[in-house]
Amino acid sequence: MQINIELNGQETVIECEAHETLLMVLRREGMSSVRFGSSSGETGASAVLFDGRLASSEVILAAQASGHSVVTLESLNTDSSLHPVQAAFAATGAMQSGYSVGAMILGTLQLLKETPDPTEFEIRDMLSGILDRETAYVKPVAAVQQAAAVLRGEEPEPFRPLILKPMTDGTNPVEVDPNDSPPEASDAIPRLIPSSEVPSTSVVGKPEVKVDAVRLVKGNPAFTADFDIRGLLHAKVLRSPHAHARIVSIDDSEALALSGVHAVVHHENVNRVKYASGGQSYPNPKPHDQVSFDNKVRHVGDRVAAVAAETPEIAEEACSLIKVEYEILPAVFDELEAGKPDAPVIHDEVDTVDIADRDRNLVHQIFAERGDVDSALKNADHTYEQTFRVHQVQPAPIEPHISTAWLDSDQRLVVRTATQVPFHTRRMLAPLVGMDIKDVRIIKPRIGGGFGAKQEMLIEDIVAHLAIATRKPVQLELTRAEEFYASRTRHPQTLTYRTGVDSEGNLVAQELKLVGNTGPYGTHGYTVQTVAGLRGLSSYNCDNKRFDCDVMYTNIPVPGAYRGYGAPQALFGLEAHMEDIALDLGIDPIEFRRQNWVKVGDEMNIAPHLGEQGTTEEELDEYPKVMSNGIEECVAQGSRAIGWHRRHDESWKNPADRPHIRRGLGFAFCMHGTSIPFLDMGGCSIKLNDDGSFNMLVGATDLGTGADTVLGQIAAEVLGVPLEDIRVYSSDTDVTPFDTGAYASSTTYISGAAAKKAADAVRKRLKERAAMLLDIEIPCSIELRDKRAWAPDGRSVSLEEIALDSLHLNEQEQIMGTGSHVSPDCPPPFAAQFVEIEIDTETGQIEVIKMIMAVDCGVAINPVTASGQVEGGMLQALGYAHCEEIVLDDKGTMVNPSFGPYRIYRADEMPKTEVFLVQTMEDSGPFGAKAVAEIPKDGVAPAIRNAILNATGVRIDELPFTPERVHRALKGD
Amino acid sequence: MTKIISYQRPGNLEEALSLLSLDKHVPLAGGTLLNTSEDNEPLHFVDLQGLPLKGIKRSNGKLTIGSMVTLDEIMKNSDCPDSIRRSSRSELPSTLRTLATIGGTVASGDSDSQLIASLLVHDAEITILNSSDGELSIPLQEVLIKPEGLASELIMSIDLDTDGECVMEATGRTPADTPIVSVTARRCSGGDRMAVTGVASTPVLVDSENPTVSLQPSSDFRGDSEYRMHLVKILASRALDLLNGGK
Repeated sequence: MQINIELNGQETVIECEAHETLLMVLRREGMSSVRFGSSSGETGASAVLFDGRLASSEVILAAQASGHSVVTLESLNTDSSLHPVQAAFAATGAMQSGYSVGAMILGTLQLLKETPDPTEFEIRDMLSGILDRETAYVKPVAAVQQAAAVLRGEEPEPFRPLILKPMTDGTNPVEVDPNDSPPEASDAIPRLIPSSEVPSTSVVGKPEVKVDAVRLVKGNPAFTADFDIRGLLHAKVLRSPHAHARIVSIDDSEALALSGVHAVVHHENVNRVKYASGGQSYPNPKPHDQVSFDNKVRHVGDRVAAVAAETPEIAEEACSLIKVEYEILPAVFDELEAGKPDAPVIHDEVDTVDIADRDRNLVHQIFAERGDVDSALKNADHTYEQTFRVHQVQPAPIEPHISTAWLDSDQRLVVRTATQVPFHTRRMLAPLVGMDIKDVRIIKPRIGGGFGAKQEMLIEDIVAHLAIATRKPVQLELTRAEEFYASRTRHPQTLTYRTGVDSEGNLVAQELKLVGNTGPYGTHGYTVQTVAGLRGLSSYNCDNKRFDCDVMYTNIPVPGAYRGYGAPQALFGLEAHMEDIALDLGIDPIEFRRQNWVKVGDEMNIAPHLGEQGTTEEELDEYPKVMSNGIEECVAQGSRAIGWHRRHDESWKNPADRPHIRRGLGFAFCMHGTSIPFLDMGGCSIKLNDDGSFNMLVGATDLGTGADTVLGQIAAEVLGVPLEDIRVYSSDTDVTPFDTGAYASSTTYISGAAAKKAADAVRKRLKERAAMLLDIEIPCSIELRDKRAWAPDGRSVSLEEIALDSLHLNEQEQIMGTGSHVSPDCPPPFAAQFVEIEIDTETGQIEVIKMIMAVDCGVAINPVTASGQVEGGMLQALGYAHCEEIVLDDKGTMVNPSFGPYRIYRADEMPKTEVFLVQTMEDSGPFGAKAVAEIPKDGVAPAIRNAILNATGVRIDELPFTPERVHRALKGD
Repeated sequence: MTKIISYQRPGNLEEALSLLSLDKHVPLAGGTLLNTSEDNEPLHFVDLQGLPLKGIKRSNGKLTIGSMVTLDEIMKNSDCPDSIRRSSRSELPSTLRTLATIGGTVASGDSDSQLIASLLVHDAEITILNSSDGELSIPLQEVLIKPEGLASELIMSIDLDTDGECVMEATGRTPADTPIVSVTARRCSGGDRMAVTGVASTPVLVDSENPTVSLQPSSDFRGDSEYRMHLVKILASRALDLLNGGK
């Protein structure tokens, strides 16, 4: 059929099918800013102005749009400049991945057209239909406010951090004056507390605009789905309806006979090559218990077959024509049930080895001990034991997993894919498709969020098998439902802490017994639990520590990596446990923690025993020590901002005009890690261009975090140029240096150090060439700044002159440098998490009023992107604590695989959120940096739990805090 | 997504009724439900956007809302009672309420719809057009009993009373979540009206003095039957307190 649309002001005639959505035809027309998030339209990533109203184009039939006006972000791109709204989104750091920024900008345009000076309520209402897992909506609100001011003809203040005076000397606690309150500022502005130990810098530490901002705010092609490829086939996956079954037979003849179908792959025609899908360093942790297609399925949604066809609809129909006969087997979902004698054996195949006890579904037993825990517990003045249950949630990046594979003209396999681990993917994929690593190329474009779900070789093998089978390019994009039940999730766990305390309130023993649920496959099952162990036992000084863990197979959707990686589970238990011990001992909960938490110079005495490749029981000669710690300043700043003194004010806690409401404040101490020592490695190369600018190639994977920007700032600082003179290109396994990938809070610390080393090498050679031009004998006396090389006597030569001289005129050479970095250290960032809640004692409903995180991440290379990481992390952590959960029925089928039933926070319901960046100088990090990406995931759940306790005296040791669970707890059930 | 055999956009009511009388022909309003349905049954879509079913009119104390008026339009229309505007806002987020219509919402009969609950307490009557009887005006609660009966008919408009005072109480997982249970109550010259969501297959009118009588809510992961009954009691009591001048 033919439709007529006024598309960005132009009458446009488009051919389409009756079933096609407006999103489909807009993308076919080249509108790359309009992006898929879910077929129900709830993500808003596809929103356009439809007759002037913001509307999700996924739920509009193209035919419905005939005769209507449609405006997309491309309408603003008439030249290279930015519209004030686009400029405001770039300047305020309002986008991380930028996947949904087109919808936000369009909504802003319309809102400001009708309401030039909107209230925050009106802004948040406009944003309510655009889900964002990255920003917590804080900076998008600021962007709209800034754009509004500009369009009204005002000159808003530049968006930059608010500098606050330190409240402490950096080491000792202070008593916060209840009458003291921090200076007022927009929530979006990071509060920066500088350290006198940090040297002055020009580019590092500044709120630079992201290097990819223009591409993103213009909606230019950037993501995997945005790149056209001729003759593309579309893949769909036939998935198991059973939680546990053997495939007795599979008949693909009808599917293959369907017109438009090019290939069907399944266990009978794909080689059986064992692997583990977690994107981790070589050698991948065992067991290698997966194959691309198996003759057994182990969870609802497990792969059965995949089809490549000319359209997604044909591929889907072909899937329905594949006849599969199953022998349905009993299933088990609970980690505590999986090891019982009557539980089904989930991996009974003989070719999976290295399972600790397959008959008990015990994948791993992990054990590490320092000192003598049993003896210390026996002799302790006080002992405490407490068990916690944590649930399964989904990272839910708004861009689903998507990969495109093809054979290039040299018959090499190329995969453009939304991955956090391109180099691991290349290494892991090659054997599955029978190719050498050198014949596989992985290209990572922009990624619309990952959060760990894309630290996995999840679908690349499927498109590769199909591309090889068809000799045509093949693309697979997961549906939102598949993203929920066939992607990766956070591990459910049962955690039991036992702690011994002496009469002075010092910890003398601490044990964490953990039963982890890794679902049907090991993937990250080993390492997530070991991280839970080391994070759960590292925060506090104690000579006797023990981690005792069983990792169990079950038939739930597959857990894997999710930002935080075991720490959110462990710290929920730990920080609740510590709160309860303190209250039992009659000690202030923060004071009790302070007495025991690790300080500068203290050993991290369990971490080295819990490695990615295994545990070690041998005592080490030396243990890593904490070398920087800003927690006292964090506590002081956070206490003042939250009004911590109110926690004992009964008149505040029990508002007289709302008798069913109780108020509470909660705190959690957070300590995370920065990279994996001796394992994470990143590489960088930098070359000089004719005009004195630089190309920088990094293997590091920016998944919206701002990594490219931060690495560019580090190089720019070293080379004495503005950030705009560093052109960053990342993650193409044929072109860029190696990097382990975006995980373990490693990019700034590891890849940043690699960038600094590469820049140092270039800097050294620039000085030598400048010395030649300036006729100076001692190159090291030369300084690089303001795009020039300066001699001590004040003479200078520009980098452009050095470039032209070295490339074209004298002793010609390409000035370039490379660097790679691996660290023996893992310097912990620290944070104080505070929350304020209101609880309805009659219904159990909790409302989180305010979240404040004060974090010591060393030197924030870019305070705007760093604070954005904290804001987004707290949003996800809030969902984990409060409302998100994967719910399975008794057959193992997820009952809520869509946004809405699976509840994530919207813009119009977020609590007030503030971020404090407390500077410390971490000498092992580039320019003093430590990690910031994952620590905001750790403290919200225990802080809310402790706030409930503060408000009501009731302890709830299971997540999430849904109204019914809280109500039952309040009743004493 | 529902499989679409054909898409048609009738230009008048007669043509629309004629199409809807055919097998597997269904009315398409905003599309937020039908276009996203998981039902795989192939259907013919009859798009109602070309019909004269828009507009909001006030007369003689009654408000008439055309069935193709979007929730966004209702939310922004000052003639609409505040409870109707607020429940239109809470029904869907910004990118969907610009498409969803009040007629489609009524036809869905969604158990959790606070907008339907608000319409119920405002004594909404639904004007329906069918080829045999012409236009009929039916109380909303009767329409909700058999929404499948609307398949070959057209919802023309919704008439509601606008007088009195209306309050809403709800419990959800988060502030903007679809409530597990909500109670909407209105006090007007004709007495009190109270409607509850989340306790039956559609929102239902209940006796404000005995709101749980005859309710048998189903359980789901957000709340079991017992908890939902508890919420009805609490929220209904609060709603009455508010109507009685409480805070």
